[in-house]
Amino acid sequence: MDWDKVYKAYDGKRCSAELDLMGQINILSNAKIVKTLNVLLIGISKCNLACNYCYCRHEQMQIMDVKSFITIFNKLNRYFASDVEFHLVFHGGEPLLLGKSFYRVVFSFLKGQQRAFHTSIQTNLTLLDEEFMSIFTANNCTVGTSIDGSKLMHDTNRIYKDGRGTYDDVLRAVNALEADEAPFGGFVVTLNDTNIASAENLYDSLRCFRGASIGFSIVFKSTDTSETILDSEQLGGFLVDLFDIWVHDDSPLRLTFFENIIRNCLGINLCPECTFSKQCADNFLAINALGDVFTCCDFEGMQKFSYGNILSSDFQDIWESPIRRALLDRLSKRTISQECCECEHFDICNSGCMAKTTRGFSDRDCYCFAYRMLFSHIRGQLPALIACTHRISEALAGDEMKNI
Amino acid sequence: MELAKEITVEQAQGISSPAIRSLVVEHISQKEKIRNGDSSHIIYGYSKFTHSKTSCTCTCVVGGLG
Repeated sequence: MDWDKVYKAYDGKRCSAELDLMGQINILSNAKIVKTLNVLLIGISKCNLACNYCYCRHEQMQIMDVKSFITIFNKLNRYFASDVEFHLVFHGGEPLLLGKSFYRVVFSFLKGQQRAFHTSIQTNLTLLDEEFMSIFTANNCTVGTSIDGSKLMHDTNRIYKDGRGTYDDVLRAVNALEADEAPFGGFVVTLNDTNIASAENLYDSLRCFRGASIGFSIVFKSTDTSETILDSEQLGGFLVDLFDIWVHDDSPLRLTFFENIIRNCLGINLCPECTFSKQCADNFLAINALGDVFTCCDFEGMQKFSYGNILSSDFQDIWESPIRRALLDRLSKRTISQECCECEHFDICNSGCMAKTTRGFSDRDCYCFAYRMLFSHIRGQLPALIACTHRISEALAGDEMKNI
Repeated sequence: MELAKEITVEQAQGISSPAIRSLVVEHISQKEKIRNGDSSHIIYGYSKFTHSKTSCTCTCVVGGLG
């Protein structure tokens, strides 16, 4: 599917399009196609926590100053068409360590821009105070945070440098955000050895956050000498159990990981889950404090995966870098592994996440086995889960549903 | 097959799984909004972030542990 062609063909005609499961373009009139570029700004390498599973590889502190931010924004602004919307995500390290004056100046600068943009910040919340809240609320900056389940699950890994757990402080800040009616973006749950022990326990521990968007980040850390990954069979079993709880829950949590897989299965939307998207490199950029550009934060710190440095290079050279090209070519030129080419779940998975392999872009996602377990289970369950109306039942009997 | 295109909201209400029912109904409703000229729904490209002009449910998962 060449979205660039669709975009160019219909740009200016105020129409929009979406892709159905058969690869056909459905043109929906009276709306405009919007392209979003997600820019993850790793503004600071330092963090006030010492989470056991953190992938951060920096020994020296790196801090993005306002001047660098403006240079980065201006380069992106000049390069991309005026109707591309920027989604700027302040990330880290712990982005609140950049300080209030940084955000005040940055938001003031952004207010003067013609570019359509949205901002959000992914923070551990432990440093949030009323002044920070008022800055983010006043600038409609969405705040997202991490929670790993119950207090016990969370405090096993997400700890201060003196070993204290952070759960109580995070919850206090979440409640303050809610009371302040601040724009809240939801939670990231890092799946790790502790919280995948029981799907039921994790799901129950998250029930108090019903209504909020809850995404998963599966723990993975790679260094030159070692890797930290979960047992794929255990992870697969956990995901299957969790899916069954979620899909039968009368008042389900908003688990975006499953929602996006279901969307992919039913063809009711483009997959917004970067792990299973066709071209993450087309819509994401991660830029660290020094200006080094990567596809996403998972690659940050591994110079061999850098597109280049945005502060010292022409952005066109970065956007057309060999590393980005290699990522784009994986699916378009089938430089993926033979196993992926022949896999029955390829249409859902799209070969997974390349940040989760250390053997090059032709390798499989290290959690391939777990995903295959989950996809097989979902494909087996889905017809019964949706076959409740006469029309759907008819469709299920037809060839059109062969992909389900 | 595009499931949500072929069924109405009323029919989608018959889907047994509340989670999937909610997704399908939401999708049908979004399509209606787009047809009616609401351009606030991002439908081009991939994103972790689904947001409209009035609400945002983004989760900054991408590569980050928060």
